[in-house]
Amino acid sequence: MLQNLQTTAQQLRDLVKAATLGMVGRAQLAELMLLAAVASEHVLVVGPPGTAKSAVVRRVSQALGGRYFEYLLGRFTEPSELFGPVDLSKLRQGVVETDVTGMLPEADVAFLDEVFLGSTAILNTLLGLLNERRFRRGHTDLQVPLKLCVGATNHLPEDDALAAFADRFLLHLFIESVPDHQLEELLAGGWQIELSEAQSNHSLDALMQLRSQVREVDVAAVRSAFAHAVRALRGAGVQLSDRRIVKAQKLIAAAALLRASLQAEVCDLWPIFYVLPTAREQVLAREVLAKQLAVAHNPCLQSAVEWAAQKPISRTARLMEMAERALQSGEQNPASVLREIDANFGADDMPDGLRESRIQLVAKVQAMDTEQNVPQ
Amino acid sequence: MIDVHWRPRLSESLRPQAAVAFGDAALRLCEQLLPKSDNSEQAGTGARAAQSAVAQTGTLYACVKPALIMLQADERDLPWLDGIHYATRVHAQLWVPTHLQACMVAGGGYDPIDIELLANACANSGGETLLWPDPALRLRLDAPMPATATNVQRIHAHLFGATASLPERLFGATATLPKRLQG
Repeated sequence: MLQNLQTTAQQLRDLVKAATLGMVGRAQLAELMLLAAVASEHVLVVGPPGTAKSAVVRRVSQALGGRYFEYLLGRFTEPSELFGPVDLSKLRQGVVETDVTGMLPEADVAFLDEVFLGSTAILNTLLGLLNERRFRRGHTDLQVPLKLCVGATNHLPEDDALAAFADRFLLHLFIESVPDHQLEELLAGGWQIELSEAQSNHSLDALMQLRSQVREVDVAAVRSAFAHAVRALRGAGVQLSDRRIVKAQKLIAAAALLRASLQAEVCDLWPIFYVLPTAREQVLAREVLAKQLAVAHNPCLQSAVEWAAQKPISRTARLMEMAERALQSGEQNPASVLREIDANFGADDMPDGLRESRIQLVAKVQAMDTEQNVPQ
Repeated sequence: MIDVHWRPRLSESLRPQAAVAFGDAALRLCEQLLPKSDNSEQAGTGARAAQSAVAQTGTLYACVKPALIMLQADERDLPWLDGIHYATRVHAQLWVPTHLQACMVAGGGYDPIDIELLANACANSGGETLLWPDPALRLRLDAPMPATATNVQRIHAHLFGATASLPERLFGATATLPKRLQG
């Protein structure tokens, strides 16, 4: 079983890499989509327009396979634009049913841009879709296949009713435009994306396999540490609703699964960061939960962990993985990996494990140089 | 006045946009950038292609005291050598090490310095500046040179050859050793 978990986690890690190739600083969104899908939860992305939110969701969805539905909501969006029109043939028989063909109720993955602009009728119907995976409208009452919904907005709503709807998205991710120093990378990556399409590796089944195993994960061992973290947050004035606290356990279990383990550990507590609903609370949590986040670790979700923890530990894991590939399989150019390592760490602050990998890489580069300088 | 302290960068890693080499590493960087002999070219490594790309798109700065070379180029073309460092542009006119965060003392700890404030403090009459922690340098990047073989040879000769005593003004960068920056 452990072997299966490892294979699945590796498959999903490859999926994220392929789907976010060329996208600067957006890997954490792709990774949180996986985490949410495994935990049967949803993601809310908060950030300015034009920050590649929909592109990431679309590419991850394409890579997963399955049906995808995307819509930009406006104040005048009709429910039928999302859920489908009234079925006229049934209406003639006096039954008000919705023809959901190709619409949101048939989607595996959905992206709803400007989600809070939806009317009360839309948001009420969405509540049922998100919470219970049921679509109810008129005489129509369907179990829907929705695995994951990603909502997007420019800013969190202040209205209480909308805030309650925002609370249904357990994971909140705040993103910014690409910073000045990464503009060249953005341009190069954008060009690359224009020329390529995300290839499906049909990982939806693998994802569903993990989802069915969430309840098998033993989270008892971290319950006390989790409660301690919540108390620390409350002590700092950060209030989490009981519902979010309870549901966060599913995210912790999903993080353990994506780490290929059926035993949750303290290193799996990091999703608490994304459960905090506002950007201010997330920033505060980095200080309050520094101890818990310092040990955060997940090879499958490195960017999400790195963003939450703001600690080099997850960066170290990523670099060590690259080093391993360069040393073992030759998939990575050793000199490129060394450049990446040296750009991330100075000689004085390099973690021991990475230092060891670096020594081996230097030896490999020197051996390659010697080999190339031998006269033919 | 700003007292600049440096600590390991905990947040996002910055993409390298320049290689910075001091002393012996600068010498080896020069040698790597110099045209190779026929034998080594036959080896057909990626290094040759990268060297060619650097010659076309890279920009060089050099400084005599301390002996320093800065090579700006696309990340994929930047060379790796044991002992060289990497820098990135964090503001239109400011370059800093990729792995360090410039900080100031605040409330018993260190807080990152606002990049705009730091760039203003390092202002160089419209030109670019490289701010470096060890050795502590504020380097004016005044005269960019294309990273052509001729320029590399010229720098190599001036820094490490018999003509090392030529005037520093021939070089594209001048260093000062700041204790404090005007904020």
